[in-house]
Amino acid sequence: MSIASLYKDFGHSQLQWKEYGDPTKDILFFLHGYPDSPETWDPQIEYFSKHYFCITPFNRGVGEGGPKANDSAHSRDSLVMDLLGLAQDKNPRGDKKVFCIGHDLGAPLAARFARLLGDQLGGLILINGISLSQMRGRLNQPTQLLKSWYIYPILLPGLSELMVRFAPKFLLRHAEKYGGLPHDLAEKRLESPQQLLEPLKQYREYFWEMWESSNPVSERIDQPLLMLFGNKDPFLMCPTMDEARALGHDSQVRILEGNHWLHREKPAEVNHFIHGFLQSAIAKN
Amino acid sequence: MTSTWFRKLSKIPALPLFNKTSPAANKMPPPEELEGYLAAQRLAREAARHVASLLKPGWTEKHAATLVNTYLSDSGVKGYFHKAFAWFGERTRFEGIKSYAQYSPTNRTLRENEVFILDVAPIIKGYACDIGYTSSLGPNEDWKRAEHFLKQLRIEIPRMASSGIGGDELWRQLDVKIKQAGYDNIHQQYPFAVLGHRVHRESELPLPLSLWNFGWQPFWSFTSRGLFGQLLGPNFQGDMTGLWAVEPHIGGVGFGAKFEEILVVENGQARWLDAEGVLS
Repeated sequence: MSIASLYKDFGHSQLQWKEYGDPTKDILFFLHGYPDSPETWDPQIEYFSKHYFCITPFNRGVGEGGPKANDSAHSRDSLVMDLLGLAQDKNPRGDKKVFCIGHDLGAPLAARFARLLGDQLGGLILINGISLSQMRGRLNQPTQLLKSWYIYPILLPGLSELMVRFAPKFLLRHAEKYGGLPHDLAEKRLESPQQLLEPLKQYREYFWEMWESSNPVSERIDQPLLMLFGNKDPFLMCPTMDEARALGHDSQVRILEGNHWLHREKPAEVNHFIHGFLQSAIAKN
Repeated sequence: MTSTWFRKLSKIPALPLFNKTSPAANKMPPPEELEGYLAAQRLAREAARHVASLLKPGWTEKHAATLVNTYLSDSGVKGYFHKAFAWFGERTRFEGIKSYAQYSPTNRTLRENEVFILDVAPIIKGYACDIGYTSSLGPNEDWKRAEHFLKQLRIEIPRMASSGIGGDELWRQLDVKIKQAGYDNIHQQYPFAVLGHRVHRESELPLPLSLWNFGWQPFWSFTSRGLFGQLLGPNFQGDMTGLWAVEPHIGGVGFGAKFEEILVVENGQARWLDAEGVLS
């Protein structure tokens, strides 16, 4: 889906994104993970842009946006602040509902963004991704700690950069083989290996932010929450209802047969569930 | 007895022992340094205004303060005189605050039409500043009236400070004006009841030492200069020359309001560093 990127300077940083559909409709923000780009959402954009205004921001280090003066600022709030500014631009009267949809590393972003949207928030959807407070709750679960093996070398500055710099193909093939990263997306990522490097800093930032996320008030939302998970995800355990309720009392968990890139592997089913969720959330609002 | 000592100590602009690292601040910095302070103050104001424009009902003080710090960090700030404070609703007049730790941002959420204060003091390229920004989330008549009064004070403070009165007298005259207007004097509740404090060149060394949202810099900067000559409290009798972060803080029923920005005092004449100021 070829469409030009848009940019905006928010004072502290610049945001890059793409947008599709009718700007007068309710807004869907699709937040991608790692190693990904907004293209990961193509099957969803094709489906939902007919009835919603869809926005796909580039994560830090992937597009050309980012903090102006501090290259190492990859904190969750740095991007969330831009997203809030963009939501304000696109919904100045606050009369449209905004839905946040996050996958993988985009999930903690989506959860925080959703929390700060206030009454504009229509609902939150996490696909094979969890919020930082949920991740923190899993620190005493050996299964999750084992599944998170790949994070430990990332936490050591330099080591993961070395691996990504010298063996990007190996890492992407690993994500393809075990996580279900679509081959076409993996090939595209190989075209710009630099964009594989920068987001590693985000993992480190999130790791530290996770320790401050014990307070449920910082992320809990009043609007509906949907957690969609592929049951064969090698990186994350499937969420429990208790975990979902801790984030939003009006929550549902749907476990499908699939891998980490569920929205690419089973686009029709994922779109079906998202569609149903959006309709019911709009009716509730 | 204590206030007599405070008056005597306020006349000490610096300690000879630390003269090299912490020189006396009762001197005018050269014009290029004033530019540095101005740039710092403008960036801090921009951060507060930007976050204020994003605030929504349900945000906690911690959310707001974190975003102000993030904005500044993204803009290259590495050191803080103090990180962002955010006070919502009744906490803007320090209601319920009984210890220094309780000034720090909490999980108190913001409600429609409530008054809020954002207060942050970044150090940018070695120039410290300290700003306080008040507004309300939606219309609030009490805040509008308070803002009008604060704007009056902003006009009067340089006049008063240029009239030849001492710092202690400036504190007292403002106290009278605040009470005559029907407000409480909230800055009286600050440590040492300060109406303001000096600002200096500061180190940006990111030492992992902080207390109650304050970096190590203010503790070092103030104490190495003798402390009392750096604080514009009710007993200040020292030389006013130099740069001051002045922060009149008033309290109405259920809310408080303030502004804070740098006042320049040179040859007995005072002016705000930035004509625009932090009041919207």
